[in-house]
Amino acid sequence: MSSVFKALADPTRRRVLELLRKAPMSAGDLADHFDVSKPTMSAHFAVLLSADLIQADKQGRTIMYRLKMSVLEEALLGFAKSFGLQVTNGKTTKPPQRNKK
Amino acid sequence: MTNNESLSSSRPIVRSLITAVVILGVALLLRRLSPEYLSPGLTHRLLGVMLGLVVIFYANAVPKALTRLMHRRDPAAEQAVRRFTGWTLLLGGVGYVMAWILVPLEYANATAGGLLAFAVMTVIARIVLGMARESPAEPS
Repeated sequence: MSSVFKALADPTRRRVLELLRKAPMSAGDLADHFDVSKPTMSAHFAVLLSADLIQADKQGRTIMYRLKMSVLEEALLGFAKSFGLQVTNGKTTKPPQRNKK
Repeated sequence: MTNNESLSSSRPIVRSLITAVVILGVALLLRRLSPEYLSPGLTHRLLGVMLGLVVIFYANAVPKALTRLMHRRDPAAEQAVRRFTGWTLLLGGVGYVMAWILVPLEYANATAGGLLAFAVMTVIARIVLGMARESPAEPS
């Protein structure tokens, strides 16, 4: 369950789930909605996959992502959106920063 | 099939068996406690609430569980059906529990069953309508 909370804590990942709620999308189509690099986007997908909130289906050379959320997880997403960081349309906030020393 | 695969495939069966044992155990416990410690009415209500909670538990998992079963032509429509099914059955389960808690005992069974049946019928209607919309029109 903590992996779900971790996944829902980030506004970019919440926005990905919001987009997937409408319809399954390819990784490229999803990445077009964000001002982040592809490796960062892949990291977000990996977190969502490990939390079992999305499912990846390989179709030829593209990876299609589809929503895989239980009702409770969807309700949690709604709460996180309402009471956490607000997600605006289209471009989102900064990608997660890596600590450099 | 590797050991890991067989373990992961048998996990839902084990979980379902545990759930069945818990339901039967609680039912037997309530029967033992009634009527000395629990009134027959309260026992009835508790059983109804427990069954409603089981419905809620399984309805919650419906959108996740159906991902492998439903692969229709329109993935967006398929996803919409899964989400609708999960939410509707869960609300039906909540209605079932609330009916057993709030409605007078003589009407609780009918009200709870009616609410759950309405949720199931709504889901069936939605699936049938969705399939009818997806199937191509016959050439005349």
